[in-house]
Amino acid sequence: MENEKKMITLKSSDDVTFEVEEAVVLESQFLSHLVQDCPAPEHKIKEVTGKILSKVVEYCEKHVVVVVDGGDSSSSSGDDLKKWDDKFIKEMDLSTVYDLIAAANYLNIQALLDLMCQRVADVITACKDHKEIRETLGIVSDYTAEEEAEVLKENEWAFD
Amino acid sequence: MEEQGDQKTREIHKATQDDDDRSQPNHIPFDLTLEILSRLPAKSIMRYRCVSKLWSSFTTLPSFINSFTSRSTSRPPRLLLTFSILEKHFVFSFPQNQNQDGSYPPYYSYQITNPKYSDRACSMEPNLETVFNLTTTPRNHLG
Repeated sequence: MENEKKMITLKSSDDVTFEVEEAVVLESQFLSHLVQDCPAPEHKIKEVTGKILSKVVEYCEKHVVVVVDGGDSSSSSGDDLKKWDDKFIKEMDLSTVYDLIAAANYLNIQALLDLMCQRVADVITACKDHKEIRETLGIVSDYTAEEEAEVLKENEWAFD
Repeated sequence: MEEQGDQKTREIHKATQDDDDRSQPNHIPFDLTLEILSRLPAKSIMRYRCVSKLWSSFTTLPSFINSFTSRSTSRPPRLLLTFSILEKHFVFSFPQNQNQDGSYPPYYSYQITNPKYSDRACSMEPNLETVFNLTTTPRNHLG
């Protein structure tokens, strides 16, 4: 019974296809509803590119293995998964992280969304001041010089 | 009343969107920016208020504050009391930290002599959640 794994094909916006087990798809709330409502073998995800979908699939495959194995496999403990997550995000540039945030939000994969948002939060936390935050995230200030001086004065203590 | 803050931020957001939305990180939708920012420690939040008007406006959104506080529930709530008597400013923090042997340290009062901090009691308080709550809501001066 357990060998009968139902496979589902996901197709990205740029027509890259990924064949995954149904259990992997169920990691996404959006896809699990889609699969339930529309039992086709292939689903096109117009909002997500192949590059990003491959990351999403990689993440879900890793996480579903851990859940399926449950506690009886020492190799898939929570610590290992955390290490895997750390490695997974370290290899990514910020623009991929942004795309993954959008994809995780669209596909409703809360754990992936949390992981990616935390990654950006960590990047911001590591910045020593507001200028570095702007530089790192590519933000152009909309403060006038006077307004900026005022807001800096108000929040002076946070820059110690 | 709460909705006013929301609306104001949306207006700012709308205005900045017209201008290619450059006060936002690239391609991150409004609500997801909130998701990210609500994960920051309080001190970073004070820094990012200086990044742009839009980001600064986030800190007063009820939804943002709720999200931030719900992430900080592992720490007990604290009350910071400040008051002035004869131009001297005092700061108390409750509850007090408990010593390892179960006893409590005596009450301390801080007299803030530096005029730079005279209206900013939060700078004396190590518990950053309290700092955040204080600085994002209108300050009430007691005494």
